Amino acid sequence: MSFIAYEDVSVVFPATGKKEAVTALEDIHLQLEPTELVVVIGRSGCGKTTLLNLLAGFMSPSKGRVLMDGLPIVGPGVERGAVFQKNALMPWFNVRKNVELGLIFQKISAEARKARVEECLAWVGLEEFANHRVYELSGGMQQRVGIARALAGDPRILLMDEPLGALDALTRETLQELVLDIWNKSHKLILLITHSIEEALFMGTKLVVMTPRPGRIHKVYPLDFCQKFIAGDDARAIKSSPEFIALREEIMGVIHPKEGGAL
Amino acid sequence: MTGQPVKDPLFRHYLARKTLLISLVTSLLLVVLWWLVTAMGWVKPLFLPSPGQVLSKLGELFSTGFANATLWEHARASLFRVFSAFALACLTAIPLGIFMGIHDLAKGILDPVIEFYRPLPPLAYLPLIIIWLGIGETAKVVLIYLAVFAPVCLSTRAGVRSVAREKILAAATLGASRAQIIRHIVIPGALPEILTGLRVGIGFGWTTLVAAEMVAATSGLGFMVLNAKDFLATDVVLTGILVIGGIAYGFDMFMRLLERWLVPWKGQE
Repeated sequence: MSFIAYEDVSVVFPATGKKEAVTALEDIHLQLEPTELVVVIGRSGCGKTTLLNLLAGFMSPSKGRVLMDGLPIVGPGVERGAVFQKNALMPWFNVRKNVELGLIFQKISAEARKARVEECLAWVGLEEFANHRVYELSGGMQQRVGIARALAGDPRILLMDEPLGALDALTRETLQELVLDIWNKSHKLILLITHSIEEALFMGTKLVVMTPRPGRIHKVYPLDFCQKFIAGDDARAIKSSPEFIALREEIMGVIHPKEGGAL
Repeated sequence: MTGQPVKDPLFRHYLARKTLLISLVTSLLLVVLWWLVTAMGWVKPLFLPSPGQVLSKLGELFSTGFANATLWEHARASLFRVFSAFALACLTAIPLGIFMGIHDLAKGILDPVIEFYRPLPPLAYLPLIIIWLGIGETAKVVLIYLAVFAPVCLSTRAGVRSVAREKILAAATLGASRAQIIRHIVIPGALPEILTGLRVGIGFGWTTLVAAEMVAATSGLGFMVLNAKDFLATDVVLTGILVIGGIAYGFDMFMRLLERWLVPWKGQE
């Protein structure tokens, strides 16, 4: 039995008023294992966020089932942490309290909370910013807070919906490496959604390529570029290797069949 | 050349810095104009008493008073009415607004009621309140309460709706119960708009004060002004207006300070 299984899943958003019904996902079959780093890519409207929302428990499928350890997912849960693209930190709390929030909700003792928060802040390199207000931090640092917060409750899965999408290229690369580091140390299942083919190839152990209208899985690729990076290879060298470029072009051909290359 | 910040095309940056000075100059000019028209005898004191007259009247109102009460007693009566109405509105409108923001059912029930009475002038339903509650203190407080209630309730509801979906979903993945989401996410998230609602609400409260004190009052700033009108005591009318305006303005300043202290993140996200 797989850790996570999408079994014949379809999601249809019903017609409202003048809008026609939209099939966001159709005939999804997908298995995820505990230590994978699964990256989902596809153009806007291909249903990749819907795929993640189903696993997060933010919505339920119109048809089929999403199972974790063989049991259907019925709602959000602490074993499935989430990192959002924006707007998800609480500006009325400082960095420490944001990271601590899940532990407070779960009524963990103050001492245990303190130790865990320190640990998570150290993981993302924000020890010195614990008492800062979150809106005073840069976009990259805010995302680090989001990651630390999701990690604090030690979830089994980390769901990341374009967490790096709003960052500048350099910050983005730094955070890609941070996420890889966290994944390598914690060996949690990570489900990452992205618009960037390069990011997808570099980070994933499994790449799910989706096509829109209706949202379907086009193909699933096994990847090992991130393993090379973790083993010590240079990120630039990996991203400019012939295998990397060949695969990038192949996937671009699927995602952007007409435009040819433009992201 | 030293660096200069890029100017906002609407000059909002410029205004934010200079606005205090401009306001002070405007206020000063208005007083000078007022003094000028009275000192030159362009307007009769019956219609517009001079600033000096009003100032000495203010002293007189403090010491000997008007209509059997000193200025302080009038102000105290009005402050009591406005602030008990305000407190009542906070205790009821904020919870109801939160409820309306969360439950479509609550919104469905309360929305038509609030939206119907909100645009009505308080004077229009004052007779009804007198018929129901008599001419005592209760009727006055209720009239002001109704004026404060609507803006507070509606902005609380809007504040609750404005809390980003991501925040609530994030809290849910962190194991928050419904009550925890409301306490740690929804209420602080709605706080900026609740405070705006309170500012607008108390403004409406002062606006309604005079209407509330029209009937069977024996003290109060609004009563004082209305009573002075009957005796053509224009200086008392003007003094009363200035005192009401001053108190309302002072409270608004206080609310702005409170806002800066309670919601420093407002507009920062």
